[in-house]
Amino acid sequence: MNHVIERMEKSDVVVLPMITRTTEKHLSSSGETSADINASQNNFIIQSGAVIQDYRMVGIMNDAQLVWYHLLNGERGRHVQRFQIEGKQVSVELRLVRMQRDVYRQSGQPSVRIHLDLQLSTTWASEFVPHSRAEVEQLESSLNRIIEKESLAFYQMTRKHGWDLLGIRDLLRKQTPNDPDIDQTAKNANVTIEVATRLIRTGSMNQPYD
Amino acid sequence: MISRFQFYLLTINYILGTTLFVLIQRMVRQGGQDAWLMPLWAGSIGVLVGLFWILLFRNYPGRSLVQIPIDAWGRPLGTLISVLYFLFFCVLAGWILRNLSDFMNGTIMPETPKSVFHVMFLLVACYTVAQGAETIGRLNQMITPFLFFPFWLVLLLATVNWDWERLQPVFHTNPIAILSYHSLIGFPFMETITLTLLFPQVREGAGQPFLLGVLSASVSLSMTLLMTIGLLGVERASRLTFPVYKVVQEVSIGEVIVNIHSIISVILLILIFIKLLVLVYGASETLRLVFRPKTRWPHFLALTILLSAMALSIYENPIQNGEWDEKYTFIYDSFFVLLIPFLLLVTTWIKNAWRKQSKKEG
Amino acid sequence: MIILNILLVPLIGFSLWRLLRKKLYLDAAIFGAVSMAGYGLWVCVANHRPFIITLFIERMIEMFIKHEIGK
Repeated sequence: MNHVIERMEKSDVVVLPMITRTTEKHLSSSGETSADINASQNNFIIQSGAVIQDYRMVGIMNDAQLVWYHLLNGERGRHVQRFQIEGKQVSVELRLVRMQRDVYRQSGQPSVRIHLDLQLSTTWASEFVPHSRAEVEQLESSLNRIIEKESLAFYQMTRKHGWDLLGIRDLLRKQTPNDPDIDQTAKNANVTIEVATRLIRTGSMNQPYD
Repeated sequence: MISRFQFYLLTINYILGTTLFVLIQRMVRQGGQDAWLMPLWAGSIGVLVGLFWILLFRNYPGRSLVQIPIDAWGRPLGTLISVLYFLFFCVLAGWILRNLSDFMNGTIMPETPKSVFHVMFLLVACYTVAQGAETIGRLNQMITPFLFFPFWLVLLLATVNWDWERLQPVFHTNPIAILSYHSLIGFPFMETITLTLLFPQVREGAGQPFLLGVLSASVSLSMTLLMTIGLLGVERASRLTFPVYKVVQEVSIGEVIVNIHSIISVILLILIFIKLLVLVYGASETLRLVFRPKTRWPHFLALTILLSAMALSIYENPIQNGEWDEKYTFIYDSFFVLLIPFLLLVTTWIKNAWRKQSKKEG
Repeated sequence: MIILNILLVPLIGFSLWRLLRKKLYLDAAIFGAVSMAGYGLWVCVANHRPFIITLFIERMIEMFIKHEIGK
């Protein structure tokens, strides 16, 4: 709560997980409740994220967008995503090991570069598992491109809505304190995202069934 | 000094160490339903290579593998060769530590950082090795019944899923496919050169227990493969990263005896620990015999730092490791296990012949 | 990287200092060589750019084979 208040007072934007009910079914008696035990019904699940600004909810993010939000904010944790790579579906687990953000000048304008080092695991992959080093390198380079594209698309989406979810304004305020109009600079900043993935772990299946 | 029986058991456990969970799947993929033949022929080659080393050691009684190059080729070149052997043992130790952490992360402890396993194992291994070869031999001897009986008991319990048809047709696999898998000679049989550092510590000769140990380990591996194929079948066993673990995981007798795969995890961890003990002993003995330092504990600390870093740097991922193993293990191991000992043997014969000649003339 | 240096530098430095104080120069040299090799590998790991040993050995083997075939 203190963390939310602090962000609101600084006019920052924060994303909080949303809790929803699985169904609206109300059971009147305990007998019905005990006879109808179903985890998919009449239960709470954590799904999507509420974008909060100035103590008001201004938008909703879906689960895929939440993954990019957490990664681009340098938060640790495991994320499982399914990607389409050269016509094949691949489920990989992503783990952020390092995030570097720096500000540099390009044609007199401040630009932000975000570099992500991610570890991959094919523990959850049941559709495709690489067999050779060449396939691993191909998977890594394809994922680098896809994650860069999707995370940049996420950033463009947040900029369109006017949500500074990546803390660009804060970063520019710290690294270019002499800028007279930080808000405008942050809105117009050119953001580039570089991703370097490395496959570290494999699961218990090294070859899926055809 | 350790007894011949202790050395025999150490040889078996050293060979089985990481083999049981790294190679089973690869051998099944290569050999199909006849994969159980592969350890037998590789073990036979391992015995021949062992005989070759024994021939070298006969010329240097009481000397270890890293002292022989100094005796044969002099201090400068001999020290360089010994340092190469030191690096060889360190690389092997890093490998098995990484195999261990991959196994733990892939099965029961996915969140734990790899270095935690590496450092914990290394600290205990260094402490054990510092107590001497007798401790290693005695520890292994005491622990072996607790490995052998539970392992086979657990596999026997799994025989409820046995199907003879999974092994058929017998002897139908292309023999070229079986014999061409030369990396099996490299890992694990050629790696037994590390055990030759314990040769001077074995009472009444190490040759026989060593060779018997290699044969017993190859039979044991063959039987494990037979069980894996009979219980899982070629199709499943070749797709699973840890088939032996899976076999035990599926044991369910009367819905009472279930989830006993933790037994196999503990057995595999102990086997890896024993292999690590021998390799850490090899590395530390190399430093001790070649450089003759006055202290011991700083070198164990340095080894812990080096080996924990090597474990994270040895390979990128299990896929790259598998590819490396198939293409380069035999060549890499042959350099240390065949080429250098061969050159040492040739030098020894030439020196002996020259000495005999000089005596005749004198 | 900072944590690595906080852990390893005092450990290596203090041990080295103790060995040098006791005038065990050979021991210090062996300790220094082995621990610095480990430190070097750890620095690469901490920077998420590990020096992969098997790739290095693979390159050496390939170079040797090409050299021999070239002859």
